[in-house]
Amino acid sequence: MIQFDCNCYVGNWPFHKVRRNSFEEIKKLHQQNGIEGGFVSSLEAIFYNDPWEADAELHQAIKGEPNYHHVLTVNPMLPGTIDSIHRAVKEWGIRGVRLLPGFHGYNLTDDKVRAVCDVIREYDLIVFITIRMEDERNTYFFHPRTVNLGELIDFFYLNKSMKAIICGAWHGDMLYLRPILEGMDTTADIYWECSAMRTGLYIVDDLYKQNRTDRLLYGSMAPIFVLKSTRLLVETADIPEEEKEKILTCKNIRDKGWMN
Amino acid sequence: MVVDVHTHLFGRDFEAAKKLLLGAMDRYGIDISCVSAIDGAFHYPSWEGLVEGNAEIAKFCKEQPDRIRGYVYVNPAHPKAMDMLKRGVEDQGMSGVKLWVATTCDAPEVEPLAEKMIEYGVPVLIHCFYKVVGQLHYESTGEHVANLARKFPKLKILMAHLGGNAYHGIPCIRDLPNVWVDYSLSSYWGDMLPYTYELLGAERILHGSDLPGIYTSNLGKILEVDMSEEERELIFWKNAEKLFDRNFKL
Repeated sequence: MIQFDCNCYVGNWPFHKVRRNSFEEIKKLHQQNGIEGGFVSSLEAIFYNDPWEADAELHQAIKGEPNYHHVLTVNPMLPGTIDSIHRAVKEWGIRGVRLLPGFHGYNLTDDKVRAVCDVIREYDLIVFITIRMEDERNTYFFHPRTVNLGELIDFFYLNKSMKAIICGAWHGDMLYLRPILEGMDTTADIYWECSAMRTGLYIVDDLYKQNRTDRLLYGSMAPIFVLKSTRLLVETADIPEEEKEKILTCKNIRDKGWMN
Repeated sequence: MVVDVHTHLFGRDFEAAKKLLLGAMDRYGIDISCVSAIDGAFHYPSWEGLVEGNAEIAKFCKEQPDRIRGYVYVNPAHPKAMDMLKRGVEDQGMSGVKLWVATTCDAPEVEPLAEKMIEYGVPVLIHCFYKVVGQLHYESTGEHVANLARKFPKLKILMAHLGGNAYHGIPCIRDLPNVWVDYSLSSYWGDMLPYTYELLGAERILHGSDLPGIYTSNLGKILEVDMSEEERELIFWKNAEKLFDRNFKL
């Protein structure tokens, strides 16, 4: 089973130079670390007035790559978002849709988000909810809002039966939220990628001891984050090798057909 | 060989803290740690807290002479700061000095301490973190470090955390040859270390982690930068060997 990065990007960032900004560079970085596939989004799409322009470039870059799957970036507040999703499914075979409420200035409980989620569900896509992409202490003149945990609870309450990957969460967020979400009637299938789980020494060990690695996926947030750092988080964990393998291959979602 | 120039004993249960740090060193293959005890992370440490913490560091150095080097943690605002510095270096065998957030590092109170550190030939590890949220009142930034470095060009300064935000901190000290940096930082920022390497070169970067806060974050950063193995060796231990050599004077 191939190792998989469920949260990576291609493109440039407006606030600092990104040295590995092309799909070729990300693929090379992946190969150097034993990774052979991923869910990929466009960095520029976050900032473009019409994200479609950037996603079209991403599609050109990754088309023909059987193990790399396009995750469309949308801002539900923009007109034409629903049409974009319909088109992207038909023309590009996207596997997911990414929401970044902290960057785009909306709340996950907004009616327009619900309309987008209806379409996501219609196509059985995965919703990628980005809580944060940067360390809040280090942002430069534009300071995205970190999505608060209550908002996530409301989102899953309002939008039931979603397939979801939560991106950029701390491990404390996951420990806090999981019991709440699992106790609610959401029928959502929620996973957590590990890229931002940096606050603590033996994070994955602790999650394993608390039986919380069953919903943990490997995601790098590369090239915004150091991929090697996120890899080492899992690779050096003192947990059974088969558990590491599950995380690094994203086996749990692969077995459910989320990559198909 | 790996020397981690920025580690801590956190909290007041020192035996547990030592066990945690030594365990992490074993797990991650760290040969030598340079450690400070920052008084349970109180920002304005008391004399008693400093005495206790520094005594524990000194004890730790004696218990683990091959693995542990100590920083004497000093509160420059305390009237007996010089006594603490002298005691740490002369009596307790500390290898360097740690400054945290009790004052900015360019405060007037630091000046006599800086002169003494130059006399001793020991480096000073300065917590340095520019933040857009949560900046502490006396938390040094790259500008403060640059002020100190210019005033004392013979002082060996180790600016921690790349200045918190490398794009803010590194330009401040880029042309100051008496400032080295460590990249201990919980943030995973993909390009901060390559940026720092391009501006400073490998000779002025040291491996630091902020253990026991996190380690893999910082190990990953240095492993991912495109550089030669010789340069990586400089960063992993050779620069530290040079910086902490008291006979190495600027």
